[in-house]
Amino acid sequence: MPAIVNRHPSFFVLLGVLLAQLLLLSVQITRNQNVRLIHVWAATAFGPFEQGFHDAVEGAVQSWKAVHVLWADQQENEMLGTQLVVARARIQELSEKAAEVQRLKALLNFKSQLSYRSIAAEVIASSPGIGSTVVSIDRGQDSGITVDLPVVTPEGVVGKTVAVYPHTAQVLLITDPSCGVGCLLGESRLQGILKGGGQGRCELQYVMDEEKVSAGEAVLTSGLDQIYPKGLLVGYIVRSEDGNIYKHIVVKPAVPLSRLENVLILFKSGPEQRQAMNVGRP
Amino acid sequence: MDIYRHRPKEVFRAHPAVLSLIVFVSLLLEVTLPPAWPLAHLFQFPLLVVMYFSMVRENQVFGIAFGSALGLLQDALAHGYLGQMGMAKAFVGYLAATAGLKFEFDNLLVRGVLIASLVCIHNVFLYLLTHELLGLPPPFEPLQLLASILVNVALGLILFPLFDRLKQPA
Repeated sequence: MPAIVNRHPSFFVLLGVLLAQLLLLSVQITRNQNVRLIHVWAATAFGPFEQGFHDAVEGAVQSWKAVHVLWADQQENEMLGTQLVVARARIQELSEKAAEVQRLKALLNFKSQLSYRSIAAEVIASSPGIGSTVVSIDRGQDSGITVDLPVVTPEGVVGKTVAVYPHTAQVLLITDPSCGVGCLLGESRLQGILKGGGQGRCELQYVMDEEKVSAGEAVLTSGLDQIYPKGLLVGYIVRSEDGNIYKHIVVKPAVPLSRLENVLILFKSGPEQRQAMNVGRP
Repeated sequence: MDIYRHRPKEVFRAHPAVLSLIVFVSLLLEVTLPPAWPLAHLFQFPLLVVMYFSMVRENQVFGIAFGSALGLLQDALAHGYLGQMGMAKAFVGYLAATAGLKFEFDNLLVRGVLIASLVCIHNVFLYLLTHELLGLPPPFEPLQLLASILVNVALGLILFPLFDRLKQPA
């Protein structure tokens, strides 16, 4: 026996250690695990380190989660930013379309109320320069357009056609100094000639000083110029001053001429225009 | 590939302070990681420490004493019966030191196989001790054992090269 122990001392050390711990186990079992003191010592010695390490690990985990959440939020933010730009562009596009629909609807209503034949046109260009008084429309000879046709919108008179090309035409606005419109005042029925005054205003000429004219009074077409039908709204009187013989009456056009988009061209009731209307686009 | 040792024995040891620190950190990781990261309950840091230092020291008595001491510390922290881990780790320490005497431990494949074998032996020994002898839960779960072996082999192959830097000739 001692020879075996001498040949394998470490094995017997192992057996001894295992046996000792087995005895320790059996003691604990018979004494109902009565080794509380060792556990208390171990817990007391390790407790602060456990707490500290736990806090550090928890802090690292929470930091990592926070970084992850921030990163995810940033990604989402970028994605939402892109979507917002697209949505804004889409809203803008839809708003434009809605506004166009409103304008066309108003134009259509106005057209149905008119006793004249008319054709709708879109303003496609204006002559260069600030305060431009000529605009181009997408209707021309192929739609039966001729010169000196009145151009209107539901708000009022815009001007008249001055040059016609195969597919387009030019409209001289009422604010152009060379444009004259036979007018009368809505309440007093005084007559005069409206001339363009530049800077988006017009002047009503040939109204005598002794006549009483009040600001805000509507200015309508008189029909005497043989171009514009009678009774169309042209604008409103802004200011009226006495001159030497005739009053200086400033009129603000009823139509916002700097923001024209869709207009109606009215046809005179002659057979030529009626025939042209039939071959023109709707 | 020759995995058996033929060249003269080269025994290593670690500085007692370093060894104490490693034991301390391994116990700390063992008890603090699983609450934060549930998968970490598969990690057996103290077992890997016993394995490594018993193997490099190539002293079976050291392996038994080191394993026994570390196991008892684990038992003390686990609030269970003292001696369960002590016996299991003493046994593993003995086996690891014996393996260190016989095999070329620097070989990566040998390291992997030894870690897998010792983890398996440790867990089966512990199961027999706690479940069959003391009648305590948990029951034997082969999949759990397999997962534990794989995870600890991977962990050992990462940790052992780090431990290699700390060892010094005995």
